[in-house]
Amino acid sequence: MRDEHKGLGSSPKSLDGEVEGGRFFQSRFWRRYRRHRLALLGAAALFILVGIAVFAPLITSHDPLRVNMRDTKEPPNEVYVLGTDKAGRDMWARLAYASRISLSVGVVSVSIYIVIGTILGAIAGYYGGFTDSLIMRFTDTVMSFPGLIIIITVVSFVGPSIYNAMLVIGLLGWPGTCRLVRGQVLQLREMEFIEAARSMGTPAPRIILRHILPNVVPYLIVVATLGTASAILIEAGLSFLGLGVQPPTPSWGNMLNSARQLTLLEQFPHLWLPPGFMIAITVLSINFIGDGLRDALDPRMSL
Amino acid sequence: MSKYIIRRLVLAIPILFGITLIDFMLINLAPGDPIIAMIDPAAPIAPGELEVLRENLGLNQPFFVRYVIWLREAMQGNMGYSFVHSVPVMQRIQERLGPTLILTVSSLAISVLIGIPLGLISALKQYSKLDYALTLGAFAGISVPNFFLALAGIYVFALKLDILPPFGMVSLRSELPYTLDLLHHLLLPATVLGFANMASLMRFARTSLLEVLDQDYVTTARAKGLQQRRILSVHALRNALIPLITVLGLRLPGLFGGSVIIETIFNWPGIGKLAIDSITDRDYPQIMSLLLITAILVLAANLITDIFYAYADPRIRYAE
Repeated sequence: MRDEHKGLGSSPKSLDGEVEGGRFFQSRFWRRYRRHRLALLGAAALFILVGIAVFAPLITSHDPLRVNMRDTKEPPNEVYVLGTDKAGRDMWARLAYASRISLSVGVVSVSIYIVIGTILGAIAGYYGGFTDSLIMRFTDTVMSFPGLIIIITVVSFVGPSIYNAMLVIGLLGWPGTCRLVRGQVLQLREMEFIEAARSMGTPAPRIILRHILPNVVPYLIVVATLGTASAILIEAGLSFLGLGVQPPTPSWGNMLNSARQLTLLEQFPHLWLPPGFMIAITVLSINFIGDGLRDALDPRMSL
Repeated sequence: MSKYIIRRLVLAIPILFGITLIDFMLINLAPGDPIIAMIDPAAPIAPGELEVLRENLGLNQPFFVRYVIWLREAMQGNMGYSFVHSVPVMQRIQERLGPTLILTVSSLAISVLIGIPLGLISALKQYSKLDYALTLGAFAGISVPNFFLALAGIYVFALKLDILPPFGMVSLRSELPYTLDLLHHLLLPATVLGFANMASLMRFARTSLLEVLDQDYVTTARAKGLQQRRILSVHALRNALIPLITVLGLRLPGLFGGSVIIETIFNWPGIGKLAIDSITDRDYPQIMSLLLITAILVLAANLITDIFYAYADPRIRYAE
């Protein structure tokens, strides 16, 4: 969260010119965001989750990968706070290390598609004409891919792994961003300050980068936040199907998968409840943050 | 309008070509060999045999030749034979279509019939405790992964309370008549599959009604002294429901994706499970046919949504 705030603060154009370096807490953005109580709660929860991910080695006392066949499927106790799994590995340690995976898959895949979508959308919107129709037809094509099914197919064919999951989600996720950016650029392109820049002989790439894109940033922030939430859900789904992160590396999705048998499900809820809750809480808090950001940045934004 | 529809259909053709080409490339150029996936690793097989098998399936041809042959046949309605089961791929899809339709349509019905009314109530009681609780519930609904919801549902309703079956579509031996038995099996997977849609429809219905209630014509209706009930039934509700057509239409194809996971968990004999099985078997013709059909579904859903939208809202005029 803190990074995001800093990023916002350093681009005054996106926020009515009120936000400046040290005065973040007086900014209009912060006043609006603060009113959204669930968004505050989400920010706090995400802060803790990031803390767990970063300091995982410090806050766990067992190796998440160490198999211990004498202590399998232990319920929560003094030695193992959340118990142990089928192979006697510490559940808490696995949960904590898995948060690294989920958060990084979310951030990396969304970064990939925001970059692709922004570049293509800006080019299509600014140049128009043939370039525009070419890019938009390509966007339509990628958009018509049947979501999860194509992701599952590709990941399974190129080989299930966390990196392939990130790449596939990133490479197939950009059409929404592209359309959004194009729409915004189409509007901005006609504005007087762009015309002024153009008449002064400013080269097109500079106009796009310095004058147009800063105005699209608030939209991108919201799209990226909500996109991260859904990317985390997709990764969890892939891992649940055995197509994402491969065991023994822990991820919330594959932890749920390994507890799928009915006997385990019935007798050892500590095997599947915690990872499920972790996914839900992570995604929920990011969605809350996205909602709060949307309201705070521009209440009229309809995303 | 008909001009618009024709234009859209013409535009869809290159998109479909693009999709089949990209799909074909992804499937055929990716690592993994259907021949290797097909043979039993325990049974020894002569190297020459592998080549014969490869030739029979046409896999010895260069990539582009295979694509052109596939395309030529597909345009004549021949989607090929399953590598693994040696029956026409369309036959297997037809067998699985029924169960998937039952599952997706009922999940959609659940999400519409519960989600939209809850959203409207939430908007009418804006800022009340109920509104707050429903909003929170909707956020939870879109954030909880459906496979976790499925496991929790099985745990509570099948294993602990023992009132719903944990998986399958029908029982082997059941005292109930077939339809009731099917409904009994359907309830849990359909609800789980529909849950996220229910939550987002609720959100959209709420926002939509709030926007409409803010319009000038509603203020006018109120100013001339109409009763709240009449304002809602005549002026507000119908207009508020129009944008939901788009939301619903855009979500239809996603249901098929979602049903992949749900069908796997509940062992439901539908298209989603067929997709997973064919992917594991590297059954190229089967996967291609599934991807093509889902792509057509996506495009059709988009078009139908736009047409419906124009009918429902006379202000919308598509450029001819």
